[in-house]
Amino acid sequence: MAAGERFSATLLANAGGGSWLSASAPTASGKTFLVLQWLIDQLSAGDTRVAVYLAPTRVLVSEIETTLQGLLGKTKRIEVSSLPLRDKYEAARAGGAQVILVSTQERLHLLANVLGDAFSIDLLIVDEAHKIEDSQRGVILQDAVERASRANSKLKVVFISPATQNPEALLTDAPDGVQTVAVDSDAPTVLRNLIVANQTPRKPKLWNLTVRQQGSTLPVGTLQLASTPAGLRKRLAFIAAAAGQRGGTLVYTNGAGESEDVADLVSQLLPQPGSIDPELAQLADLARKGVRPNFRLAPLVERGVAFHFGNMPSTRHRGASRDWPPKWTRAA
Amino acid sequence: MSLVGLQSWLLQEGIRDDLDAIIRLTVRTELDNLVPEPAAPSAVAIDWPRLLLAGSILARSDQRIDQEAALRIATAAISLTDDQALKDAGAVLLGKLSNYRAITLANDRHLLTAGLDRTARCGAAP
Repeated sequence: MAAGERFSATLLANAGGGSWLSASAPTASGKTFLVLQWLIDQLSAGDTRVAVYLAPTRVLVSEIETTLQGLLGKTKRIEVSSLPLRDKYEAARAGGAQVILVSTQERLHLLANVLGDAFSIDLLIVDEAHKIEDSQRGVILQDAVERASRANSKLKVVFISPATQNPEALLTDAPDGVQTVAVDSDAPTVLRNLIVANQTPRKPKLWNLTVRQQGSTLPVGTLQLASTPAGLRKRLAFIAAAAGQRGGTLVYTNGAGESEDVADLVSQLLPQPGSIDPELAQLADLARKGVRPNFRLAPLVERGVAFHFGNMPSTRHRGASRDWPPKWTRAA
Repeated sequence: MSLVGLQSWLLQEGIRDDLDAIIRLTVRTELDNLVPEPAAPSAVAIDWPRLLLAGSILARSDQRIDQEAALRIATAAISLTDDQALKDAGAVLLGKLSNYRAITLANDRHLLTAGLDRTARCGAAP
């Protein structure tokens, strides 16, 4: 059996019992999809009335809710809600439609406060569980897990985390007598090439590219720039724009201000589009109306370039990430 | 030779040159504005059946470096070759790596012919 198959088989084999399980695998390995399928199977089997899927951000809550609704299709037996509604909880407990509540840890506390002693969930899934170590919201997350565990000693818990070296650490708070299982996978799911660009001596428009591997380097070729870049930001922008002319290029920078500057530079290196894509025009309009008329993101978006950094409101975060990569030629 | 020994030999010596060639080729196909190089390796010169066999052996390894090599071989067979049988073999190798998302992505990009799982292309009856 190949390693990827072993991870799926072990996860599914162990998730079924009355245990606490912590699964770790790299991003894009399909672990979330696997757990969502398993979650639906658990509810379809009938024992689970109320399941909670905890996700750390509203963006992720929205994504998971949409994915679950897509997987469930038109079935009326299982409801999915991202709102901590007492009615849906009580209907599920009374024998009505089973419910999957997709929520942040803060909203789960709100639901528990409303329900008081009646609060009891059967199955808890904690996505991005490594964030339990965050200094502030991590405490709230840990308290939510402990609160759910105190309310129902038979609670099943599944922690999901990306490429965690010690997934078993999340299981230390399991009640006495509960079986705990850690499932770990280090299988790569995407190819990553670390390419180093060095200027050809005395030829500032030509840059030699080498792929760095474990203990060796492999020459790839020479990149031709349209003009000579001066300074680190321009070099980054010019190389990114030249190497990724077909689009779908993501540039990481140090800080918000630098990301705006690099995005601006990249946009200047692109040909002026004949017309603005209607969806990009809508997003630019949202940026102008939602933030301020001269928000720097708006004109860049119209040219297919975006910058993106932490604490961005979820509406624009969704807009910037939803269509990636077809609509975005560059991002910084 | 043990399986672990075979996997180690494949990576260090057995397929090293072909593996380096597909790394160069796949990276070059993803980048624009590269100066043309007449001496650059060609996908035609690669012994694909041998490389895919090695990939299937490496896919059974627990070592990340072996699995990464298997993933490179599968991806290259799908994206660099025009032979349907080689592309199908690459997709089967991705399946062995449980990388179904990559298979879906290859289908979406029309790199694979649809219906691999429902036809006899892999020797299995429909």
